Amino acid sequence: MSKKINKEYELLSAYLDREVSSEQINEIEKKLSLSSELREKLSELIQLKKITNSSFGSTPESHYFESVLTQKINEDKKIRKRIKSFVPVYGLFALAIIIILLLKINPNVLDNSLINRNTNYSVLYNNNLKPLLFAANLSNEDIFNFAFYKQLPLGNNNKQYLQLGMDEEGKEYFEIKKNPLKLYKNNLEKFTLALNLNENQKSEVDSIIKVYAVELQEQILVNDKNTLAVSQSLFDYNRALAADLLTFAAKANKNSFRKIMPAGLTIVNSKTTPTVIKEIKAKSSNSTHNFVFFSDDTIYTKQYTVDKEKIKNEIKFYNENANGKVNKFVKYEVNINVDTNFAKIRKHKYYNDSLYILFDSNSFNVKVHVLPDITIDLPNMDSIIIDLDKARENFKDFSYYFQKNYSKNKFKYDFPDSLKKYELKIEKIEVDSILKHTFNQLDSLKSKNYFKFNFNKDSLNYIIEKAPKIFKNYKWFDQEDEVKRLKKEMEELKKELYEMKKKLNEKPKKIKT
Amino acid sequence: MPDPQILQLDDDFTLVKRFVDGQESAFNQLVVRHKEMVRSIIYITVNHADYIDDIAQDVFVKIYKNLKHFRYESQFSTWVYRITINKCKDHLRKLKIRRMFLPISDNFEKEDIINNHTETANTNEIVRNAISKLPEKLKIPLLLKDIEGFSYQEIADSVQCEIGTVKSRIFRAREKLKIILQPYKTEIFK
Repeated sequence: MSKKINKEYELLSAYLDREVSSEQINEIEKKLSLSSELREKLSELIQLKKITNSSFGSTPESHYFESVLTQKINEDKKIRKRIKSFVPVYGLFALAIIIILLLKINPNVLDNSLINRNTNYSVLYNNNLKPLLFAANLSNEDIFNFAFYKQLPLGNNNKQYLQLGMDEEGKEYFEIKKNPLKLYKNNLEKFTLALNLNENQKSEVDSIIKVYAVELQEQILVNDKNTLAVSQSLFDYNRALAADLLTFAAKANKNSFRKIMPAGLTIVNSKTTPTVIKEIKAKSSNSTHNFVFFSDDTIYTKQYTVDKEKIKNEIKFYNENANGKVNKFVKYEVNINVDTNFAKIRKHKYYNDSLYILFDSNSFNVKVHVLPDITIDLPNMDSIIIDLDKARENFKDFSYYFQKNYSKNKFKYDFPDSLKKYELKIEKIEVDSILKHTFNQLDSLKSKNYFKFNFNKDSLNYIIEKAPKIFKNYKWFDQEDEVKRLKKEMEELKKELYEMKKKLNEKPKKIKT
Repeated sequence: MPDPQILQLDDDFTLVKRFVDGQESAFNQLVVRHKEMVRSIIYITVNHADYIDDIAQDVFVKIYKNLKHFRYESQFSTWVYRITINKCKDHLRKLKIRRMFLPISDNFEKEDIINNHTETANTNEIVRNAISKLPEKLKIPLLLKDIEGFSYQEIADSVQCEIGTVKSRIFRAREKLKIILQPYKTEIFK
């Protein structure tokens, strides 16, 4: 059938359905009167319409049509109501699926968002940061203790300390401790006494500490918003200071130094002191360092540029007004209290690629796993870590110290390991005080459970051996029963301590918080 | 005593508004008004009396659920017929899929029944079977026109296409039907 005829028949079909205009009707009727073929087609279409129309009769409706419909509508209502009640559940389920998918696609999305959030807030936190050393008014003694005991008070009230450490895997960590169990006192004095330093040498030690103090000012910052910013270069400065002090000690008094470092110290060389800090300064190009920011509700890392000029002016202002009442910096005290919820969430978790945070009731550790690129090229500190740690341990053993305040009950005793002879004031050996002191030490070791428990010297055994000689002139010592009781107690204590030592050395366990 | 309410024949909108305002009984009136046409469309489209009431009830459940979203842009009846036709299409689609998964023997059985039935059936059954063989897009406009008496415009609104397309499809449906009924020409066109 040609297209034209097809169109004509289509129009004829529409004509049959009365769906054409009056003009088309006239035209079709005119054509119909002239064409028998067209009339035949129309009749065919009429017949088809007729049979189609008559082929479908009516179908009887169910008597229950409307009641079934009402039932179906009610059921539908119930289902919809039930679905609505589950909407929150479905919502949460969908949310969980989305989060799972999101984490599957980009596992770092949460950490990244946290970092972004922290970056946004960091402007608030790192505002008006001041160097801790003058804000907390730290002394040379504090800085000396930082060198050898890696401990730095965060304020004048000694409530919180910044502790540097290294775990078993050799990873460095910061730790902010509340009320440390062991306070180091008068160590700088012990150091100068041990080395038998003259006044010039003492001032040389002070100048070394002063040089580092200036450098450390840029490494530990605090502000009035309770934020503490610790530079990740602090570990290197700590080693550098210890190394320089030991180098100085080796040169100042070789004999005494051998007691601290019997095997010698590899870093000791002929260079003038302070050696390491000079190298650091020489290689330093700018004052931008990676800082770890601690605040009440967050911990984050960020690059921070210390405005040296500003700090210099502030220190100048501080020194000028140090004696006056205008001393706003001294009021700065950091009291880091990490939100407990935050602590729960972040317990034993990697905070980001470079930090591992461990919380317990008393402190939290921030392990710096991946030290970012430090802008200054420091000397290779790893090679001297072992030497320094050994020196620190020996220094602790070596630095026996007795107060020089003599009283009536004094007596002289030639202490074999010490360089000086001291008069000891001993009324009576109090076992309880020894026990108390020992258990304090043990508690401290428990809190640092990843450190190897180490008796440097069996001091109790030593006292047991030497006691008769030391206390022979005392009345109470003549009483045999008393001596026997004392010896017995000492033996028991010794046994107990060995047991503890054995247990603690077995396998370190992580502190459960 | 309040005056009795007199509804106009084309006053579906008023009933819809009443239903939307919370008068559930208005829906029953709409059902009464349109159920015959809905059933009829289902019957001619699906060509199976057993399914009519089920599908019609589904149509009205859907209308009940969506009546609040009715936008008064077309006649209510056109909207109802569109829903009806879509429901019929869904039903036929499901039937087709179900047949695909029927065992071959069952399919043969059904075909045989149809064929045997066709041989012995009366004229109306022959025509109904012939119409059922038409493609849906041709069959529905043809039936809406020739049985339900819809205008081309109403058909176009119901099946959502142009009037020209409706005109063409109805003619093509008639042409195809003529070819299918060719073997029964003598019995039908007496």
